[in-house]
Amino acid sequence: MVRDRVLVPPGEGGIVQPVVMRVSELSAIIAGLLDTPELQDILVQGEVTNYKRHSSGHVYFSLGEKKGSEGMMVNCVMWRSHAQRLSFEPVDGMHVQAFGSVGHYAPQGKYQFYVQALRHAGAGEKYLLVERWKRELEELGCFAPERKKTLPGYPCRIGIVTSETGAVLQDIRNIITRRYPIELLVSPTAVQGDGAHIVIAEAIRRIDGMVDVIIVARGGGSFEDLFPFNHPDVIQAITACRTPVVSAVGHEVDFTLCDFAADMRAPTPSAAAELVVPDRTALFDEIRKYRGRIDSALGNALERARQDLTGVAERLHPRRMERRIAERREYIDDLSERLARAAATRFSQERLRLSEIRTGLEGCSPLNLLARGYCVAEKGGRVVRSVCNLDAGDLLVLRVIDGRSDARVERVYHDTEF
Amino acid sequence: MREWRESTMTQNFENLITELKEIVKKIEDGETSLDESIALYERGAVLITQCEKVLGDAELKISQLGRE
Repeated sequence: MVRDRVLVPPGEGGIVQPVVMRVSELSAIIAGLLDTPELQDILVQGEVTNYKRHSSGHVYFSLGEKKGSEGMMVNCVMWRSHAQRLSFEPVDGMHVQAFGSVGHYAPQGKYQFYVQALRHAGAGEKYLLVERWKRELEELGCFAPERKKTLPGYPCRIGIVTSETGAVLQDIRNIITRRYPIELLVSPTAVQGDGAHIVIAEAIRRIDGMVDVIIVARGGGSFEDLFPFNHPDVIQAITACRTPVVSAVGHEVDFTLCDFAADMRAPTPSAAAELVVPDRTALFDEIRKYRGRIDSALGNALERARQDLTGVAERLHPRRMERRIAERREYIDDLSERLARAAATRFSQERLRLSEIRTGLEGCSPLNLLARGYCVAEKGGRVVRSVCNLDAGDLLVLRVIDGRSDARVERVYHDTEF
Repeated sequence: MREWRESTMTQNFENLITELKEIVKKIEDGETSLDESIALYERGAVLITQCEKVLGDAELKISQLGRE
């Protein structure tokens, strides 16, 4: 610690002149002054205000106290490493005891209470007891998420474990009447006081298996009032239930072990009632919507079918059939025309060939020779081809183109070349 | 007080609603044939009436177990 204050020697008039200090020097002096046993490792009790859990995990709040009209406050910090170990989530207005040390935060020039641990104020012993129970029951698997049962969507019978005289029962009854009036079965019990945990556990066991869902409910109260709902007897009765259990003990800020053991926690008894039954009006609406949907879906299906039918009818229409017959007929006409044309072509080809043959044939006819001025001699009806067949005095028929004549052979000459 | 087995109404309403939802889905699906759609529609109408009856018939009853 730096303490080199230099005093100027008394001058005239005995006035001491202060020495100019640096901020760091002042800050160091303050830090040193706060570092006294009186402010280290102390337990401070007060009301939580401005509670804030930063995203870094550090927790900031103030501890306050009211004295008459005057309020006092100490700023507190809880580092993440300590905040992680909190067994409960503090809320504004909660009375707590904070353990820690006061220190100076130089960057902002303020002092803070660095809290290492927090516990509920008052009934300190009981808080510790609840924390011990919590640990033990947790080890037994009483709070295990995998053993949580699902609540029925549409229960028929609701069991309520609560005081038969309290406002809680009335609240639940009102809400259920409004949302979905069904059967309520009350398993009456004391909800506070010595031995209450035994009665509560009994009431839970008695109603288990007789209803679709059980609400364990109690109105708001002090930690002391709610204490029986932390008792292992009650917790084990809940864990043993075959029927799903909703815990609705105290107000939203109050937590009891009953909340951890139940299959679901409701912030208040009224909220529990809303949680366990569906809203009848909403269900009516939902069913009406389904009706609308099947109505319009069937309407659509019918409309589609009607359109299909029209399509088919259109295709079977007489005019369409006539057209198809005409098309066929046209096709047949076309075919027969092609047949005729093909046949005609073939005929004329044949005819041409025939006339060619005839021409050739005509070229070979003896009449042709006669026409060109030749004559043919016949003897005894046979054409004379050689003079060897002729003798003088033979009677010949000479055929020319336009007639014949009889002739007699005078003499026969043989051409020597032959 | 008789033992409360699997609640009949709970199952009933849940089954009705589940079947109704199935029917709505099937009718809305264009693949379902018209015949089937009409049959489903008839079944759906019955289910709706039953649901509404279950809801409409609901009434508050309160009873209390005796303490031991």
